[in-house]
Amino acid sequence: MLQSLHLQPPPPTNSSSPIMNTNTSKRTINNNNNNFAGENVEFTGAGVGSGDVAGDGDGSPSRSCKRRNIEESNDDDDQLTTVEAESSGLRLLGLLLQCAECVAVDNLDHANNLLPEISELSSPFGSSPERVAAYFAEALQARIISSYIGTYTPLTFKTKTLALAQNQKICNALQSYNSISPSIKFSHFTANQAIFQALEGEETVHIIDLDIMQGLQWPGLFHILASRPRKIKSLRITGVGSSIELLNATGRRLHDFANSLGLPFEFVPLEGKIGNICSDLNNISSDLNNLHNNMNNLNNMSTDLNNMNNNLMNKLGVRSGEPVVVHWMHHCLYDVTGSDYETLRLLNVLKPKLITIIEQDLSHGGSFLGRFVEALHYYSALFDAVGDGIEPENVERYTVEQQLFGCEIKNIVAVGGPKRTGEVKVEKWGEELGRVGFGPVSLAGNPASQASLLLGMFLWRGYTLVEENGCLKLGWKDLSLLTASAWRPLD
Amino acid sequence: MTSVDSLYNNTLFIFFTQKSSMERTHLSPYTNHPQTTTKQPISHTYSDPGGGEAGPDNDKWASKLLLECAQSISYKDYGKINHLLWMLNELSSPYGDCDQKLAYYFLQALFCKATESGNRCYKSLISVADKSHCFDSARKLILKFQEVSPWTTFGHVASNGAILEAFDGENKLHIIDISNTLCTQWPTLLEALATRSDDTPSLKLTVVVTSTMARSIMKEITQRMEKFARLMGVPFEFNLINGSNKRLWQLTKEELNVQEGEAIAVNCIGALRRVEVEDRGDVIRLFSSLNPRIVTVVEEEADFTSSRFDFVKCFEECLRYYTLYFEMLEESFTPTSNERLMLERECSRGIVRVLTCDDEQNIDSGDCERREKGNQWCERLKEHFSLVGFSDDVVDDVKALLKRYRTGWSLAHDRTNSNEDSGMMLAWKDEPVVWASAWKP
Repeated sequence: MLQSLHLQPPPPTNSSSPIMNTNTSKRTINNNNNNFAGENVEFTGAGVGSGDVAGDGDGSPSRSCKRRNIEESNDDDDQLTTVEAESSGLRLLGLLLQCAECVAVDNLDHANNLLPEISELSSPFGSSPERVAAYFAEALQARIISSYIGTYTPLTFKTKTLALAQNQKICNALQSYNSISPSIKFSHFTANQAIFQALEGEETVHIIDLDIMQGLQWPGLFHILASRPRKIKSLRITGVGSSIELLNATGRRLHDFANSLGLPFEFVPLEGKIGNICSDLNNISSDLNNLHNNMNNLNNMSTDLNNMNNNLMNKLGVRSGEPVVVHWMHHCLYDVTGSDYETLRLLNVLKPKLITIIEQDLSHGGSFLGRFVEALHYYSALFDAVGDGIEPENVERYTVEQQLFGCEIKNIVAVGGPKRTGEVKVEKWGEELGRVGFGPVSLAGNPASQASLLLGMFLWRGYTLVEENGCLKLGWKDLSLLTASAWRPLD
Repeated sequence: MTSVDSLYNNTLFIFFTQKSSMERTHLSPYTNHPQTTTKQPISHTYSDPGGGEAGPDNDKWASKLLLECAQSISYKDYGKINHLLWMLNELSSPYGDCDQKLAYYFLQALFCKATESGNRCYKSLISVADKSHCFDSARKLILKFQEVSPWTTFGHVASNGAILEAFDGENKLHIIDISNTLCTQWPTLLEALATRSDDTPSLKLTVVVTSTMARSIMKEITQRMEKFARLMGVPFEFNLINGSNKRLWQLTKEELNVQEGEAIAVNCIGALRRVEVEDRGDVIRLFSSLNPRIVTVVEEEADFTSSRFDFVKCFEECLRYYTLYFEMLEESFTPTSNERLMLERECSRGIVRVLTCDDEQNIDSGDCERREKGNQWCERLKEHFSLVGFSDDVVDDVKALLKRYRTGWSLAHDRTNSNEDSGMMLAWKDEPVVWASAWKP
């Protein structure tokens, strides 16, 4: 059950703040179903909350409330545009779902016929529903074409210059995202607090970041570690990423920062995906003969396993006696973990002192239609959130939407979901970790306070913070966007 | 254990990709090709297709990939077509940078070509655009475009200048306007007529609307034009004629309301290219039969006609022209402009039509869109007309116009006909883009 601790300060009682309840957790979800007015029955079933696509022209119910409060609701013109916008929003929603249903049953021709109309009605420079529809239409188009071609793997750039250019684009977009949404800071602050707490009494630490990118998270941790009375004797980070050049650049930056704080720091770059490193190391071939031989020779197999584990630890830079913290943040920009099973196996072997993960509240697998509808809800809320209070022509928001959200949506809608493979994926890492011998570490103390301080800033009104079973959930008006959780081995 | 896991995962993936391709066997012959159904789960990393740097490594990666794909389609190299379509599909986006946009719109055309669904796709695009077009949005679009770029105003200023000079001393003026610019050309002309030193002449404006898009919104124009003329104090008569492209050359003097004693000007902006190639000669003959004082012709500088039976050549020219156009749009508008988006979407219709629609299949809807270059139009027009050079005054007016816009615009020297003047050429970054000319019988 949701325990919503009203961690945000209550809104000011003078109603100059037009959004009435920022603490919306008490608001019933049923409120929003009225907007769907029987349009698509299955949609309301899957729906979660306020991220409805078919809201008013600005894409959020609170905006239309805002309008009516300010302009005293007798403005006919305004109501007319709101009604028009609502009906065009509804139409867009209906068309998108129709198209998705066609794709789900492989009726690609009909799906293709629906797309021109959806595109015509949508625009990345319009209202929230129009922008969401634009990117979903683009994703559906890409999916239809890829289905015809029959190739589903994502394009990975082998050439250095291109890989770097692409990474640079993403990093720039993430920085913009950081300034128009608290999501990244939320992830960093809560995880860093949890890590800091877990390191009480420790003098050394080894952090393995499964998707380090530019390592923007770690300077914050360096700071709080450096201000500890009991000094850190060794701080090491293993950064996993797709390009060694980028990793080295990140390492250099972190090095410089650590030096400026007087922290003894070492960086271990690891190119590749964590779940694939095991198989890379062991050179597993899918040759059936090899398998047979191995099966016949159990002894060899167990030695092999030991050797492999040792190799793995070496590659990761793990030293005995050092507490290990594993961290990563979920997204759909590209596949981070590679083989999910291998990743779990690795975590089991590694038994790190703490695992911190930030997960998107979005399914990455399952039926296409289910994934599609859930993503539509999710990104409607997200688009509402980043568009709140910003003019439609804002270039920064457009960059974030086009580079990040658009890319994620394309991956979610693609065959295979964001992992872009047919592999079985872990849906909820928290649950999965629970199954393989880890137990939750509650974030209810300092991490929660940090998060609530962050969200208490005026800039982030509309965002909600909820604590559930020791996890912290960041949401936009009750639709949960991110869940931060921490885990430790149960032995 | 681990080898079983990865074997399991690999098997899943093979099963996964094969299953979907089996379900697709009812599609076009292209996708039934045996090579496409046995996909190995190799990770499709970008590899140099051989012969140079073609690929996302460089600037202009889109052109290289697109051209290669077009070539592969003409050679029917299915494996390569597949590979390139996949790359383009991964990299393209209608909302990204110029390369990504070009990749997106041309990918659409290549895909239609490969699946032989061009006609259907075009019809669908046209019908959707038809439904959503309204006067307000069309007007807003044209005005915004004119504000940020001289692409259309260039032709207006040149033509108006030539028409006014040809009409000097006349009292009963009749302009037959065959264009789709929503009459944005005429207010300046009306003003010029009103401020002429001698008696204000009367103006009859007969607008022949050919584009399917424009027809539905022209009714609003009538009232506005009449009101404006009243304001200017110019005796004015306005007629609107629906000239579907098939019928254009069949219009008669009566239908066009041509009367004795009128000084006639035929103004043809971006309209000739919308006429089917075989009918263009007849249309020009029609102009001649009206015995006009002057004919002004403005067209975009590209040749999609002489190569219309050669897919790759036509593709190259299309790509060249639309790359210029998209780059011009990107530099002229703000990054988050809805107007620019609408113009880009308009292009997609043209691209699909020119590259994937079978001309012989008699498409009833939409416009032909097969542009010809200035020197090609000259060849056609010379049969009935002779070129009139633009006077220095008009050239000065055009130059003054260009100064009002961002840098990059200039008047190009027409290199084709060395000795004679063959009209005026607007250039963007030294590339000729719009051609304007004036003719007399």
